[in-house]
Amino acid sequence: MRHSHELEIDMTDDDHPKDLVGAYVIGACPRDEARSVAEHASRCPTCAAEIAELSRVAEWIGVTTARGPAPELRSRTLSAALATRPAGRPTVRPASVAGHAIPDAGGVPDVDQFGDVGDGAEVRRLVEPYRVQVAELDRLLSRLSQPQWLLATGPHRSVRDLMLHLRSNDELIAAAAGLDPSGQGDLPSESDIRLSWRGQAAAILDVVARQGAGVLHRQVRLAGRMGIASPVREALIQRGFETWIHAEDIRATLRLAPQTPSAQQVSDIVNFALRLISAAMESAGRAHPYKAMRVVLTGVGGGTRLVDLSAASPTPGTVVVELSLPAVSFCRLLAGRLIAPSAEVEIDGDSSAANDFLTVAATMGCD
Amino acid sequence: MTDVPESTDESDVRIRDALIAGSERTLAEVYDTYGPVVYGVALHITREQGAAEDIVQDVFVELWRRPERFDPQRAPLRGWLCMLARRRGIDWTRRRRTRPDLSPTAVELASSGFEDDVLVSTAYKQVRKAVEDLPTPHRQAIFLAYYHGLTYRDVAKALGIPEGTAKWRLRSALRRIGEQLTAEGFEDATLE
Repeated sequence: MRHSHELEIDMTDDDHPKDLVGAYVIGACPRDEARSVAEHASRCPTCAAEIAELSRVAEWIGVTTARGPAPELRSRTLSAALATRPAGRPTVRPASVAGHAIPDAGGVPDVDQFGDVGDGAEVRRLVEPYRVQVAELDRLLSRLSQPQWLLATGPHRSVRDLMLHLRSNDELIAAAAGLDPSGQGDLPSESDIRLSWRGQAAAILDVVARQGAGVLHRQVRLAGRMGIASPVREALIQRGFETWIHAEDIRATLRLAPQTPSAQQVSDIVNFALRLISAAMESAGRAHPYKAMRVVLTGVGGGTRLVDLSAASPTPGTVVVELSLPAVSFCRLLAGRLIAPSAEVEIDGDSSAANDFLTVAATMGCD
Repeated sequence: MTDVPESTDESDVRIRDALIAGSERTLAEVYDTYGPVVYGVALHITREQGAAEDIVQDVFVELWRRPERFDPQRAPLRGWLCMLARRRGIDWTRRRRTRPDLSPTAVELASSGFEDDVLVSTAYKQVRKAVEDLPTPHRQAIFLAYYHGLTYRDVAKALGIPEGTAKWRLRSALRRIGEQLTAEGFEDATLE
């Protein structure tokens, strides 16, 4: 251990870094010291043996806090996994298993193109639900006849107006991603509207995929009444959310069956809204200081969340009420498409707090 | 929850190969076996159910997307999943810039906050008992390093003890746990 003095490692008499092995196996050594221990162990069977023995113990520590997660998390987790790779599709070519992994050359782009793998995974995860909703809405639009473009839909006078509204909401994130606005004059044809909306959405998806994690932190104004600045990461969730909601509007107009987004997307939308709601309740004058709510979301994308009913309280609030409804219905409620009180909503506890929560939640859409 | 499988490299190798091949059933089995461990680690670190659930999802999605990143020769699957959960949990708390409560009382309370219903496995119970049986200062050092990502130097600061003592406690704590488990005829063949 030639560098031991420089690194200030306390060596025992026989020059083995014995005192560090506990910290080393549990990952509690500063990086330079960890490197020295590893180097030493590569030459010293005695230390290598002790490190192996203590590592096996350390690998068990995590079970000490084992605790059953909510049962809904199982399906949410498994469907999120399968959304990234369908069952039965190998990740690597068999020949590569023993050596270096070769990325799958199949249809889904490899995340490494997005740079760092962890962030790349996040980019892909955020982009995918939006991409799916854009494709689905485009498919719906492609079937519309000229008169159908003029039917009232959702809160809008026509599908045409709805698409102009969506295109303009998408411009906020397009501008943040460095794209030019999509607008094409005052009276574009329906086909121009569809193409320019779709072109802009595709450009957003493309820029985010190419720029990767770097763009996710950039601030952008969210669409809708809240009008607050948020990272692109949040805005992407909101774009996927709004695109789905407007596809639902059009499906309702055409008397087509509603569609439920993937569990991943539902869960993203729920978390997106719950991250904002304490502040939204505050600015709506409907906060309940020192109080919290348990939100039990059932079905696809569901799970249980604790939500503070005030952003101003310095400590987490006390749970005063439990609200239960299907996660997908909660998403519709956020978009103002489900009017509370609804038969699907169950409130147990402080109903005034729950009603304020629901009232504010219903203003969090993009109309 | 299924019982803890034998933690030999061999069964982990089989699991990894099945995941690489795209076996959904294997993923579900791994979730059923290790979900509570991963969730417990994440919840202990973040103290937030929603965050812990997101971490569980991330960890298993990562395992499914890149099973080849798991190397059974280097660590058992359980340890690898815990490591992913720890990293994400610690990152999460750092991103939130919340200062974890590292006072000895908080750490101590945390260490006893188990839920009995999931600890059906004898192995889990034995490990938990061995950790509980540690002298309090040893257990505090282990928890600060393992769950809060503290280096031994920060452990020393948090507990107001010399760095040499912190290093010694970490090593001694792991040795004690190992010795107690071995004395009890712990099922994990790798500890023999």
